[in-house]
Amino acid sequence: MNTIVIKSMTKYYGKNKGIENVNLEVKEGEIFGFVGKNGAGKTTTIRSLLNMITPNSGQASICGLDCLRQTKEIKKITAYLPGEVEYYQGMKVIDLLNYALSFCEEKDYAYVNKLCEYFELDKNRKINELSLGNRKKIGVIQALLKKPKVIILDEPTSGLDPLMQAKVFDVLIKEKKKGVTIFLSSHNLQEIEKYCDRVAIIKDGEIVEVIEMNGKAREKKLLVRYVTSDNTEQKYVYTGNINDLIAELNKMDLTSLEIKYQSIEEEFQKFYKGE
Amino acid sequence: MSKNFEFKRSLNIFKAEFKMRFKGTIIWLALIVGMMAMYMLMYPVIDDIMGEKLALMPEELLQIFGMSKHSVVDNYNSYFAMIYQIIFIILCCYGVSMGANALYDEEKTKSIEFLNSVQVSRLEIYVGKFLVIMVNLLILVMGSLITTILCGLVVGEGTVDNMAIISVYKISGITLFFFVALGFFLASFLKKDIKPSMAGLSILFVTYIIGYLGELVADKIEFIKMLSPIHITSASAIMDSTMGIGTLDYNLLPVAIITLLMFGFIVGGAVLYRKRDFL
Repeated sequence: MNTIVIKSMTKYYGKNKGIENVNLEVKEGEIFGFVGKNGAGKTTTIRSLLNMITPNSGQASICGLDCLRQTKEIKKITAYLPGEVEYYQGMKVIDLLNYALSFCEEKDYAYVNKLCEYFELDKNRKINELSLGNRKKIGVIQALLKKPKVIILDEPTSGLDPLMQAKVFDVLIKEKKKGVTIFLSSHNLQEIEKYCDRVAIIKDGEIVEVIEMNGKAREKKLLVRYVTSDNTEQKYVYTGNINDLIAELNKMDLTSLEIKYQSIEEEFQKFYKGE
Repeated sequence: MSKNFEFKRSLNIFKAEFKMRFKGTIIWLALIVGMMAMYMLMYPVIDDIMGEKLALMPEELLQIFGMSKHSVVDNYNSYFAMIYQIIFIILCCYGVSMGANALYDEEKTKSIEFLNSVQVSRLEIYVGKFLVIMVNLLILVMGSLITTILCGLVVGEGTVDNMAIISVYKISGITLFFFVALGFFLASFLKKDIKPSMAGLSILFVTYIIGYLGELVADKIEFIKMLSPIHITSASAIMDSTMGIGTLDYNLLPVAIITLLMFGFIVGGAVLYRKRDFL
């Protein structure tokens, strides 16, 4: 069953293209990555999903609820972590989290405390005294405290140290195991590769590829790089039978050989080659 | 109200915003009360020294300060009308700026992202913020009113008409809230690169000058002064009509029009804010 469905969505900012004819389906209980360069259309897609901007055309739904007409119901079941975590200056962390909690039907203060402890966040600090990383932690806690069915995260780990990044994903994986659907945009292709089930690559406002991270199709994509004795270097993606590849390579006089599965980073870069 | 609106959520925003703005409100209250008290307590001195001098001043110059020949400081209420004109313009500026910035600042500082991520609709955000600005303004108006009445007890020398003073606050209060509504309306549709508070203040001063010009060229295009909410509900205009010596035909029709426009701005602002793109 698909939790998030985007059909032919287009958004122009005046004459400038935000996204064009975006089609996406995110399955229930999966972690779906969304990658692209700055300005490729990731945030526009996320904002359209949450009715922060109105698309020119197309439709989107979350758990069968229309993103334009049923925003309130969507907000009830969806958590959102914005890319830029700016809060009210002078407010204490605990006051902000209680403020967020005041909009939730179920107010689990113990869970908030537990999350603050887990993410090593001092609740009594003022927000304007916090680093970007600590403000990001507030955003993550705020997203989790409403116990959502869907979590949408825009650059969830930017500004966090590697240990904290791992902690964020540990929590997200726990949520995934509970059946929560996670849709995240990121520039960190290693974390996308490590944690996502599927990834969509967006370029110039259009989805150019959706990749199954653990699928058989992906396992078949081998990146072959070799140098022959006459110093000729070859690099290509091989999708055929591995034994045939070995047999073919065996006929050559090679000085070096590298065969590896194509990483998401390499797949990503192929769309941006020459830019 | 639609099912998309729950007043409880607007109230959550109201409580948080009120707390955040509390220090600022107290500073403004101290400023308004301090200015009002300082000027009003000077009434006996002004009455003695300045009364005759003000009476010699040209009518046009007096009109800039919302006075007429009839309303020069021969009693506490007339003096109040002159002083309140200054406070009134300050409060109008406060109202339009606060109204406009309540929505604009959230987008500028990106804290709107927080409200976008919690379970609250745009209408609930709009109502919560509108309420907090209205209440803040009401606190300032009440502070000014109480100061006026208390100063009247101290220095009024039996020339105080409290009912007339309350009428001034009640009627001019509509213009104050009109400017708050205008600020919200402008902020609901103006693009991020145009500061709605500047647009609101420009409208305020242009209409103020129009009202003043209307007074100066009374015989020719007198009607243009009706384009100025500040002029229509100026303390001197209300006082003059209350005392039956008015030069302005004060009636409730222009006030009713201001009230209707105010509601138009409130509703229009809410409708436009719901459709606004948060970039």
